[in-house]
This record gives sequence, structure tokens and C-alpha cells, in this order.
Amino acid sequence: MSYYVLEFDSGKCTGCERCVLACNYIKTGYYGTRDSRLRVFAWRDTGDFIVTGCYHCDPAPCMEACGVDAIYRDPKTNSVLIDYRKCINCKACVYACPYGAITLGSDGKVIKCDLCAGDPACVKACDYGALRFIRADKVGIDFAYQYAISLKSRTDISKRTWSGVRPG
Amino acid sequence: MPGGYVGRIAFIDLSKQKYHIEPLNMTYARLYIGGKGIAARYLLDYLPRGVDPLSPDNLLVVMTCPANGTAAPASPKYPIVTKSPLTGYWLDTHSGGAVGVELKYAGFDGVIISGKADKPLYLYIEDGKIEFRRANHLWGLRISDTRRAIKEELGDPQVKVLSIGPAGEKLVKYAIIDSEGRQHGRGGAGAVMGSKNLKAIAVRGSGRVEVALPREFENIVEEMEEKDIFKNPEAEFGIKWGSISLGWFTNEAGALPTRNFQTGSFELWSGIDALAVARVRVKRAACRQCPIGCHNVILITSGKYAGTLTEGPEYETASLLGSNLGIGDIGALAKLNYLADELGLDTISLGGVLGWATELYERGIISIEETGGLDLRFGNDEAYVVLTEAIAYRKTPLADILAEGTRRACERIGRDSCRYAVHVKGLELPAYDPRAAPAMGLSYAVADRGGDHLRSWPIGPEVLGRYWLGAKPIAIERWSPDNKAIIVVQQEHQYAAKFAAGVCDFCCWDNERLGLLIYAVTGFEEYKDVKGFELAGERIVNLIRVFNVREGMTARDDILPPRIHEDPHVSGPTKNRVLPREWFEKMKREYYEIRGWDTEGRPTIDTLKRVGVDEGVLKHVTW
Repeated sequence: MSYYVLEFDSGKCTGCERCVLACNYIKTGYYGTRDSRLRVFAWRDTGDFIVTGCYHCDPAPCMEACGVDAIYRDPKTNSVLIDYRKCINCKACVYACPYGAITLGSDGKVIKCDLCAGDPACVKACDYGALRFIRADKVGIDFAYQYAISLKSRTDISKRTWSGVRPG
Repeated sequence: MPGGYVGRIAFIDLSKQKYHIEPLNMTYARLYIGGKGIAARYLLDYLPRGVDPLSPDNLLVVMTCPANGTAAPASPKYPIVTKSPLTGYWLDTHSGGAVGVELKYAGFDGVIISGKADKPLYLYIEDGKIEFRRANHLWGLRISDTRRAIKEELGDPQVKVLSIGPAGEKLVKYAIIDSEGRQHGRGGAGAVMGSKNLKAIAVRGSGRVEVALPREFENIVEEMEEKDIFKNPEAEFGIKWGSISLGWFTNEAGALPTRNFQTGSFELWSGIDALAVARVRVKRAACRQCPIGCHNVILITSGKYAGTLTEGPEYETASLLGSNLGIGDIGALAKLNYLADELGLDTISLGGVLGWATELYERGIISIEETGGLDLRFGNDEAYVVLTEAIAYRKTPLADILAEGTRRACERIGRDSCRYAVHVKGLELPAYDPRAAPAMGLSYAVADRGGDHLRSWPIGPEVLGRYWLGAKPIAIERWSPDNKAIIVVQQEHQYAAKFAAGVCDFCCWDNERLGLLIYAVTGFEEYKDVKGFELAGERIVNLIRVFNVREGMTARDDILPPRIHEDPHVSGPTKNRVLPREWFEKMKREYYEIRGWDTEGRPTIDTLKRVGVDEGVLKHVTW
């Protein structure tokens, strides 16, 4: 399947929150954070920054929790979307989401990330490469490669196993 | 409401624990843009003349700028404005911490705080409402602990916190206010906050900021990101290394303060330069809405300071707490930086004070009994760590004196010690030695808040030898007083208007685009033209000078410390250089002339009318 996935690398994130601003702006037309579909948590004293949002799970707990089948999967982008014609704003999905990715917007309706129909504004706003929109078959390849490099520099070839470095 | 403003100012009286909200004065907004400009205008209205900075009558103003909270690049900067306990004059101290943007989302362009709480308090500002909360349990906590405790207490990890550390509580005259890990460093705003028994201000907002002309705004933002940041070689230093890389340039130019400004280059600089920082860097970080990301988070993994994790050091810190103290070890520097940030001390002033005390000890002016047994020699980092903590808590008699800043401290110690004090109007000099760049001397002497490098930065054009006046490059002779005043004047205009708009000094040096940004955000037509932008800068400079002259500033205050004129550099590329007094006087005379100020440094009525201040300012002109 050649759908795309949002990938976040906290090592590159600087906590600037431009993704939050961009998300909020594209969804509402004003600058703020209230209606952003993703959140940034910052621990400034240690330089830790985590961006959280919808992971478009499969199977998706929100979809299963919805009693009126208002949440569905878009076959093209593989994203989990809300059909507002069916939604009765019962908030069952809010409680079902294990990641707190569904929330209430300033208009009182449940809101969640829809991947901007395949062209996420947050990714375009990220100047640090911390948020990327990559093909599903490439997910994790960067982390794997970084690990491979560290392994390569740490040991000679005879000591490597598929799961890491052979002890001793 | 024009874009960029939310239109409300809160007046908070801590004595009565009451507040009221007034609409933002749009005449002020239009003339003075925002931030320090508007705050200066409000101070003239509401701060009586001659107030003691640490009395309940002083005002503490947190003001936001029009570009804060929009998508404008590198524009989270906002000032805290008050009357400085260190200088007794104007103080604006900016940071890019997350609080400014949040305050705007919470529905305020600014808060003006007066009075004094009878018990420690903190303020919780959320969506247009302000709560007074007890802070007894927070009193005495270090800065990051305060931040954590408040977030836990309010049950919201996304609250942004402005707070002081122990140094602010103890009224150390150069205490900082911390804004989510960035510092409002200079001039002792933290002591003003401490004097009001105000430990912190927590802010949370879910409101909105709109811009007046969305299409123009998107265009100018795109243009700025490309031309001013990503494709601008001059901005590269910030993206790649952070401010610390400036040290390569100043060390080579002989402008790096070393051992209490005794010389201008440091033989151990490579131990704490940008490469040394990059080696221990674990992370980059950025202010809100900034694509530059100049902060370095560093972790020391070896040596006696192993385990120190801090954000920094910035160039000024590395210089004043590094080379100025003879420290060339990144671990020791990180430790001092960490302590200053956590306890709430300004790293520049702290470095100035420590360097000065060390020189006194080495010259035998103060004895080992007076230092409390500390062997205060250049490079003795352990003594500095002890003394830094002692200053923050005013633990020992010497620390208690040093906590007053070099000017007051040297008056108390006497014994010729003022001869070695390096400050302008009481504010310790930052890290560009005027003996290597004469115009920098003028810049310090006339800066609105005392010895400071963020009002103009002529060292760049001076050392590079080129400067653009309009479109024409003019040649600059470095070792001469000619053509220097005009550079300082023009840069002051740019910086004043740019800071009032909320744009960082690490980005965007093109007046035309800055003007267009203000125009797009606010819709004020006059800023569409570059002349309007520059005139606004001039207006703000004059406005603040009116405030300062009202507080008693004269041309006799616009001077440099004797060391700059009398003690030649003892080594390096600028060996034997001083800044001759006659050069300085010539530059200063020219500066006043270009400004349209009289020989006493006072703006004339004609000048004020030309730059277009409002009528209300003129009634403060009594000269």
C-alpha cells in the first residue's frame, strides 16, 4: 500500500510550535492554538519536546466506539476521518482515544487530525524536519539507519547480530 | 480592531488584589507600534517622576507586540518594561519565551502591574480573567521548580510561566525574570517583581490573533523566510551554531572581554567556543514560532561538572562568565550558566561583577578575609560557583555588596575600586569591547537602558569596513570617529521599531520588509513605506529619551567607564588600543546633532514634533 504516514522525530523537534500554529490556521483562518489538531508538550529545562496527534490507528478505537458510524477510514489516504453529517457530538470517540488525539474545538464539535486530505500543513510548517509525511513503506527507516550506523561504528563485523551487539 | 492587537490592557493592583481592563489606546498603537514603544508611552502616563524602582509605586509592564502569536518568522519577542533598580532609568528587557504569545492568546496586549502584595502571590491569567493565588509554598524555589509546581497545581501542562528565582526574591539588583526557559535578563526586572512579592505569572490562552491583511501577510512571511533566513548567509550563524559563534569574530577582532576587560582576546577561547558547545550539544531548541532555532541544549558528560544539563551558553554568557573570568572550560561555564538561570541572575551583569571583584582581589584592594576565604583568582571556577550561589541568596557580606551591581558595590567598597568597574549608568557592559570598535562605545553610552548591545550593533560594519547608507555602500574607517554616529543612529531606529513589532534581532535586517510586515499585520498604511518604519523607530527612541531625561538623565550620564579610555589592551590584535576621549566626545556630539538633541542630550520640542510624538508627550517636556 502506498499511503503516507505522519512521522515525528523528537530529536529534531525544537518546540517552536509552528506546526500547531499552521494547523490551527488552516482549519480556522486565525492564529492561535485552540483548534489545533496536534499538541506540543515542552520540558524546556531538559530540551524535551513531544508532539502528539492522531496516529490513524487500525483498528481505530474511536471508530469502534462511535455508535452512529460517523468515523470512517478514507481508502485513499488511509486516514481516519469524521463524517460531520452523521456525527451527533456524543464525544464517545474522545474517551475512546488512547492518545487524547480527539478533542473539542472552539465551535463545540469534536475535532481530529484529517491529514489535510493528504497534504498536512504542519509538515510544511516544520523547518526542522521533525515532522515528516512519508510513504508507509519508509516508516522507521531513518531510525533503523541511525541505529545501523551506531552499530557499525561500535563493533567489528564479527560481533554483530540481528538484534544488536553480541555480548562479550 | 486592526490586526495584530487584541485590544485590551489589564491594570493590576497587587496591594488591593484587584484589576481592571481598559481598551488599548489605539493612538499609541499606531504611533509606537507595540512592545517597548507602547509600554514607554504608558509609563509616561502612569509612572510618576522619580519613583524608587523597588517601591510599590514602580510599575512592572509585560507588553506584547503586534507580530507575537502570528505566523511571522522569528517574532515571539516581547518586553518586560519597568524602571530599573540597577540604573534608575528606563528598562526594557526582551525574551522569546512562550509567555508573550500566550498572553495575547489569553486576550491581553499587555498587563501593567502596580502596588505590592502583603504576602507572596502569583497571578493566573486565563482567557481574559486574572486570579490572585497564594505563593507562600513557592517562595524560595528555584526557577524550574517553580515552573513545574505551578503547572502541577493548575493541572495544565501547557500553562506558560513567567517567574523569578531566589535572586529576585532577595532583590539582587540584576535578577532576571524567566519566561519558559528564556530570560528577561538585563537591568534587574526580577528584583522589581520580587519587591512586589510577586513570584510568578502563569498564562494560558485559547484566544486568537488575526492579521489585518492576510494575503499581504502570507506573501511577506514567505519572502522574509526565504530572503532573511534560509537564503541569507548572515542568518546562517544562528541556524548552525547559535549566538556563541559570534565569539570567533570578536576574539579575532580583539573585542572579546577578557579578565574584567583587561584585554580583548582570550587564549583559551577554543575551550568554550561554538565548536566546543557543538561537541556537548544534545539538542537544538527554538523560541515559539521561530524557524532559526538558535538555542543549544548541552549536557556535560565528563569532568567535575559532569551531569550538568542546561540551555546555553549564549555568546554573552560564554564571554562574561567565560573569558571575562578567565574560564576556558565548557563544563565550568555550563555550571555557572545553569546556576545563574536557575537562581535567577543576569549572566552578563553577574560576569561583570565577578570579574570586577576578582580584579580587586588580585590587586589587593579586597583581602581574603573580605572574600570569606575564597581565593578569587581568574580561572578559579570553584570560587565562582560558591560566590554565585552566595550572591543569589545574599549569603555573605561580600556577596551582599556584589548583589548591588558594580556601580553601587564600588561606591560601598571605595578604595579606588570604581576605577576598575566596567559599566554604563550602572549596567555592566556586554561582550563587545569598545576599544576594538569605537562606535560600540558610542552605542553603549547612549543606549536607552545603559551599557547594552541591543540598541545598535555598529561593530559589524566597523570591523567589516562596509555599511549601506540607503542603497549606497560607504567605506568605514575602523580606527576613526568619523561617520560613526550616523551608523548608530540608523541602527537604533531599526532596532527600536523592529523590537516594538516583536521581531528578533537574529533575523531580518531589511527595513523595507520589516515595514511591510507591520503594515500587513496591523494595516497601518504609514508602515508600507520604509520611511514610515524608520520614523517610527526614531519616534520610539525620542519617546524613551524623554522618559529618561524626565528621570534626570543628562549628557553627563552618557559616558563610558574610565577603563575604556585609559587602560590599553595588554595583548592580542588590539594591543595598546584605547578609545581616545576626544574620539568619543566627537562621536557623541555628532550623535546629538543628528538626533536633534541639545548639548545636554535632551530632545528639543522641534525634534519631538518632527518625529511625530503625540501631544501628551510634549507636556512632559519641561526643559
